[in-house]
Amino acid sequence: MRTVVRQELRHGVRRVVAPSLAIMISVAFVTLSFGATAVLKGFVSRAVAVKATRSDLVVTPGEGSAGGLTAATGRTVAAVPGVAHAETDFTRYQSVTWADGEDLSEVASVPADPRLRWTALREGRYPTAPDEAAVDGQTARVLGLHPGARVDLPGSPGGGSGGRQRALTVVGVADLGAAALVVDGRALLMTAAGITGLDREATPDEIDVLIAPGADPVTVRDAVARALGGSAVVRTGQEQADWAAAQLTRHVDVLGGVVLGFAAIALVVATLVISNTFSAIHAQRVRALALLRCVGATRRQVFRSVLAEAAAVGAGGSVLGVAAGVALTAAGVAVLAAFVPAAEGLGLGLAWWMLAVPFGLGVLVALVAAVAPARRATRVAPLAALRPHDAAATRRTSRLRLAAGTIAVGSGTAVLVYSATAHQHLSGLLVGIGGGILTLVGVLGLGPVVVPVAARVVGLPFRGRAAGRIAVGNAVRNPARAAATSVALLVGVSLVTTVSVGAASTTAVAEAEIERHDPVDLVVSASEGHALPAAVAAAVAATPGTRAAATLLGTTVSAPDGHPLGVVSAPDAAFASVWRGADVGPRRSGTALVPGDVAGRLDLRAGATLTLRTGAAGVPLQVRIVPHLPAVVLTGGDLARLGGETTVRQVWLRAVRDVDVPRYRTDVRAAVRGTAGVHVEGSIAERAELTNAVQIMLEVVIGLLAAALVIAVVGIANTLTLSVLERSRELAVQRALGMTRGQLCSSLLVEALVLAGVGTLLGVLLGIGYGWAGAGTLLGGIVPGGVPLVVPWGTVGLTVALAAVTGALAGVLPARRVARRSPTAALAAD
Amino acid sequence: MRATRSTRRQERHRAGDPDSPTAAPGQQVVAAARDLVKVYGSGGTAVRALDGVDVDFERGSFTAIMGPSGSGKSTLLHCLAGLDTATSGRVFLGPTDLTQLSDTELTLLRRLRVGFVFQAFNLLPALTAEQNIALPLELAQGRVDRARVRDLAGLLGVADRLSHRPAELSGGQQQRVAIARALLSAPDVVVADEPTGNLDSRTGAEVLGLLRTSVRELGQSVLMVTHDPNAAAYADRVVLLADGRVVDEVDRPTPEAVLMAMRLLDGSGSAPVRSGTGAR
Repeated sequence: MRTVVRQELRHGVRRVVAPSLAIMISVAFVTLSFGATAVLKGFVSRAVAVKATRSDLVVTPGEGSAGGLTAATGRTVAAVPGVAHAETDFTRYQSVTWADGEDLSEVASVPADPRLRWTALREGRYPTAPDEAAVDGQTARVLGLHPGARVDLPGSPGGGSGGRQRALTVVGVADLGAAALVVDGRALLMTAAGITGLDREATPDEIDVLIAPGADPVTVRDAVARALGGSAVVRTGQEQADWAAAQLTRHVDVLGGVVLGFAAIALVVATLVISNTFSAIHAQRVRALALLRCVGATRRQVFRSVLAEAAAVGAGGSVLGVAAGVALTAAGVAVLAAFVPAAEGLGLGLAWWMLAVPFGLGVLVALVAAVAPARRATRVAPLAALRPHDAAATRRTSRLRLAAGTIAVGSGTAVLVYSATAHQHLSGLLVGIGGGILTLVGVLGLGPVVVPVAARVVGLPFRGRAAGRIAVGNAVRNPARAAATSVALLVGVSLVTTVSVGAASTTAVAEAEIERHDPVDLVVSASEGHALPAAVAAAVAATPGTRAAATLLGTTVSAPDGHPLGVVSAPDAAFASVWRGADVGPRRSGTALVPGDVAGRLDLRAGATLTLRTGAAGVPLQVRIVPHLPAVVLTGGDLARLGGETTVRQVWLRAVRDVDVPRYRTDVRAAVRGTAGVHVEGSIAERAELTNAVQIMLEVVIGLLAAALVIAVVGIANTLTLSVLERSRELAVQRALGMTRGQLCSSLLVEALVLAGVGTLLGVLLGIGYGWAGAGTLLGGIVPGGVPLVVPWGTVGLTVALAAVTGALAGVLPARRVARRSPTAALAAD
Repeated sequence: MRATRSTRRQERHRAGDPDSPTAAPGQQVVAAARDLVKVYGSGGTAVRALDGVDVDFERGSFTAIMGPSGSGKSTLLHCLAGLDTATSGRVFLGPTDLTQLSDTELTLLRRLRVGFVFQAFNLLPALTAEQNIALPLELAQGRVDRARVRDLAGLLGVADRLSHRPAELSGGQQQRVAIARALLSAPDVVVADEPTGNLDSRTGAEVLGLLRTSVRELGQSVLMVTHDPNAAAYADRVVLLADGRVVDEVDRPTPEAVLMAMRLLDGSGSAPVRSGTGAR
């Protein structure tokens, strides 16, 4: 039997190309996710080690409320015998005004002792005075900063500098090296005194310790720990590096797990493709198998020969896959090193199991995929060798399968609907995923019934011509095979649609939620006692990217609680042009729109009477509570009746769609810069960040699903190639009867298109359902009125178009090969 | 458009071609080969399947082509039907020189001017019997006369099977549908390659009778390759091939006469009989 297996493989190389390719792609994916995880871990560990390993010991705050370091802790540590030097280290995040605008940046202290300094000075010197700073090399390069430049720490109410702006002189530029990875954004290095000067309450993040020459780090570590009691954790530099790496790489592991999940999807799709291939190969080899049985091969031997063949294909594909995975990882590291300075000199860090596990998975997938075809092969009767060869017989779908499939789809759908409406969030999500898998399995089972029906629908536009009719009929001639082929694509397409629909629905919900909380994009307001000069208001309203601006006049009145309260008025039209929240309708004289928080403070209910006064005379107003309103809003007439001095108090802005948000915000800030007591707030940045984050997540997920989609397309090409081989006689008859090469080609292309179209159509339908159910499960109950179903037709349309194009491409190769053959050659071939 | 262009080209070939088969008075030639050579492969493995065949086939007659395995009878049929191209020499279908046509032109010609009946794999499994019958006309995008399809089906005894798919038909029924398909466009020739090879003798006789009927009643010209003397006896004339040449002819054959001619062929030793290899 070994000879048989060897010869079959040697002669049928073309037939095992597709399964090998499917295995190779999925195994490469698994290897790459292992490799990428290892590289990232190495990257992170190296980054945290840069700083930690400078110190002999590192003292960090202890767990829980007992923890917390103070300046006194530093002094205690320094007094421990064996400690040569102890230094408090501060790191904080703080708004910094760079040359290109304000940005939340890391401000870290520079150790006074040069031995503890973990950065590499490139230019100038380290700061020694509180108003001096060094900037990181990357930022210096980007902004063209050199010693002598100025950087401001803006003062903001509640900020560390107590509301005062502080100017720092840049005295040096220092490279962060590998540690740049763990620095979030831009970094500013200051002296410890400079940082405590910003904020008297600032507490050290850690205390870095150098021990006396000859002292044992472990002994000193224990001594320091004893001196501090339970309030702090003391580690050696290496221990600290390992601990920090472990903390950070936990996230890498989670990420790796997610990526592996997508690799698993690719493996499942590969299994479908491979199983399909083996089934088709053995259907074609029925006579050969029967002949083997005739000459004395037992069922067992036939079974084993089929499995051995699968194992050989699996092993071959896996070796290529592991090699490709390692190559991709190495390429990724090279690209990373070329673009990220912190990644220079990074190694691969592959362990043996990272190669062995993907290899084993590849072989396993091939074997699992081959079991069903192998069992069918054993059922070939020896007599089949003697009977005339009949065309691929269509097997009827068993009733059991129909019933099971229907039950699976029905119950899966019920579970999905339940999870989408039960509002149990995370636990509901697990239930929902179970329901999703159940429906998918059901659809798989019903494939041989559903796919031909769907193919007829998809094939409608092609039915006008004879070639098209033949193609549509051929696509579903073997319903089981057609189903397995389309379903491989269905899995990928449905997942892409699921995440697109889910993301779009989630974004819609979140945007609505943000709008509800902050119904005005940006509000520029003057604090109590300040005014917004008309010129500034006009400049704000004229900011490029503004769709509508409402300039609100107002005054300060006395509220019933005796405190001053700012009130504004705006014409109805201006108000409506910037207000994204629920419609407040036309406002009548004598009513005041009161923000929810003001109503709470003044203990007002809707319909109550609020008496406002500027002088002695009070103006009674009926209260209408509008949540999230930026200020108390009156009509112009009521504002005049109050009689105080009216000035421009606020400008409400609504940006155009697709505005460049950071730039818009910076522009608006620039318009008010230098005006005392004016601040800018609003939801626009939050909304843009959210949309952006969802978009990035969507792109990443679709990227991860690409492997599964590619494998599915390989599967379509493969099914078509195999059925073309099977049908060579029939195709020759078509040519003889007068089908031109072009017609034959287009007929095969239509066949590929129909198979791809069915997978895409069913995938999109399922995906829309899954996406809606998923969004409903996660967000239901959070939003009043249920989760809207938002179908991003752009993305879905693109998916459909891509699937159609790749499906057609999958048909090109076999079609060209067949069309080139002369009809007589094919008629002669048995 | 393409059909029109190729028709014009065929007209051109008709005019003043010295090799064009000129029919003798009272005879009309529907297909002919002139010094036809077909070589498969090249160098040491080259096989001369046809080695200078000269033969004419009359319109409205039933001709059987016979010969031992490897004599080139199927190759001759394929060349005459525009399925295969000649290495040298000429092949005429009516006035058209097939050796001057491109693959596409040959394909378009096959649609309407040649009808095919094969031994097996005759019908497309994805189409119903009626769709199978209409296929060549539909490919040519001509109007399919449903009444004619039904008439032919009635003549061939498959009128009640038109909506069935091939898998639901018996072998004889499939072959009748194939004959209906071959006759629908009233082609210049119907070529049949071992049409009874897969059928039992009674069904085979019925199929041969139908081919005979199509010649007598519809005036069709039929070329049939067979190795069965009994089948050949249905023909008006038998052409015998050996080693790629025409070696004998039998007019108004009987099974016995055909058998005798075959024996003579074997006896002369000019036809090495090889077993187990296909005639193609």
